[in-house]
Amino acid sequence: MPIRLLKANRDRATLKRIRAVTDTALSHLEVDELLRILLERISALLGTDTATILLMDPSGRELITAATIGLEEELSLDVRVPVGVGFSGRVAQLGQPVVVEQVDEDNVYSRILLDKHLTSLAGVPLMSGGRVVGVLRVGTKEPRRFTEEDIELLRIAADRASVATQARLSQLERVTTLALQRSLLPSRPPFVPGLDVAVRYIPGAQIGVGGDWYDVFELPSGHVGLVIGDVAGNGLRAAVVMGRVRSALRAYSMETTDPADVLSRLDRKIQLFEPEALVTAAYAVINPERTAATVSVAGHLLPIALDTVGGGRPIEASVDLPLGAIPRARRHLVSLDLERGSGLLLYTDGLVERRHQPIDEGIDKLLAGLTNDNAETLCANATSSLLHNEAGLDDVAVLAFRIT
Amino acid sequence: MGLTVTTQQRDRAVRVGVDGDIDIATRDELDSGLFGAIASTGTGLVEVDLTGVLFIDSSGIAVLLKNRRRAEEAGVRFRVVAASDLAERILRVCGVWRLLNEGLE
Repeated sequence: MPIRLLKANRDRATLKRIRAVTDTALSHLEVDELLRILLERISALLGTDTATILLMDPSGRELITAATIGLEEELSLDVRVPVGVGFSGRVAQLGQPVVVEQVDEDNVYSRILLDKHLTSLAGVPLMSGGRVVGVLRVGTKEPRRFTEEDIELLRIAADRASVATQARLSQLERVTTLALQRSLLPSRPPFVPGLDVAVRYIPGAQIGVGGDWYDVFELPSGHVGLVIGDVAGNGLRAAVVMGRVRSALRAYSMETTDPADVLSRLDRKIQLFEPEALVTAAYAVINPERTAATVSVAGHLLPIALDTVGGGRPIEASVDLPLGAIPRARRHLVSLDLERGSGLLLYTDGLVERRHQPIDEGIDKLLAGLTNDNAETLCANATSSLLHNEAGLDDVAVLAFRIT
Repeated sequence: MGLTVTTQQRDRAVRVGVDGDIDIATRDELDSGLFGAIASTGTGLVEVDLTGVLFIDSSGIAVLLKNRRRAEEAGVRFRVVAASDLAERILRVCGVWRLLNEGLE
């Protein structure tokens, strides 16, 4: 056969091999199934006796078997390998392919590989965003040389596996975050005597669920606490911290009705137990008679005082430092008189901050759009006029009340 | 929009110039830039220039404050010495300008 044809045949064979592991039909499979089929195809193409995918656990210190076929199949999936130790551990540590032509006690971690009389091993890292997220490893009983092409094929399969597992992880995180966030932010506030209250939460287009929160609660004394806040960050981490901060604030609200005192205590708690967190919040306490409120603001946009005729303007208060910024920050409170029909609108920065526009423009627009409507309509109007019925990039929380 | 963080030694201070929007997508770049500046300063002074920053959200403010604290713990002075009107206004509205600019509460 002429050399050119030989080469063409070889290219075609190579292409076929690559297609076997990049087959788009695979993307319809569940992740576990996809990993298993990838391993089967790799094993068939390379003629190996075992093929395994290990994934990095969240600590980044151990690899855990996620899928395996061949010799190790009957073994438990929960085999853990420390990073840096043994064959797979070394692949993960180096972040590069490793080939061992003759297995011995020094280069493998798992007794299993020795017991199964494996002779040659090849492994490549699963990479995502420049980090090692797992290892794909194959092995043979007979001595075998792994060529550069073999390694390249393993790399392609590893990429495929990495995309699938990372997609599942982020999907899992999204679902968990959403569930947590929904449980913490009820879409209907509780009924509070003497108050008309409404709330809104809108996840951001860019960041998804973030750390914005609101809360409304009535205390045994008849006081009512209303809070809006923003835990910096997004995703599951921010939602978890938000949940802790939210319940800590509730706990301190039972100790004192002074909002500045509550925020000071919360600040100390955050400094000690969440040193990485930074939280802004505006916290208002309404008296049992519903004739006055006291408000303290920690690095947050000033709440808007709603008058009885459909207008409103930011309350006159000093904005103290966010919670978690510096130890023992000074906190102030202001008192406001309330009457029937007046109230407050509290919101987070996502509502009014627009790229490359002064933040005051967004606030002015919010003020200009206020009406004499009830709390529910106020929230609806504010979010629809400022966000144009589209999700902004940042998440948004809004809380409004009027005295009834 | 991307973010550019440049660091240069100027007289006694490490000057960190920031250009672009600081948000959830770029905060990590700012964080590592500031961290590097704090770690590398020999004179104990880091000056941050936000003249090229036209947008900063709450996650960006968090990064500035966290690094200010990180610097303080390392015995390094950390100041935002300049900012665009838009950025300064946001930092003022959020009550953190004086702390970042003058080191005062």
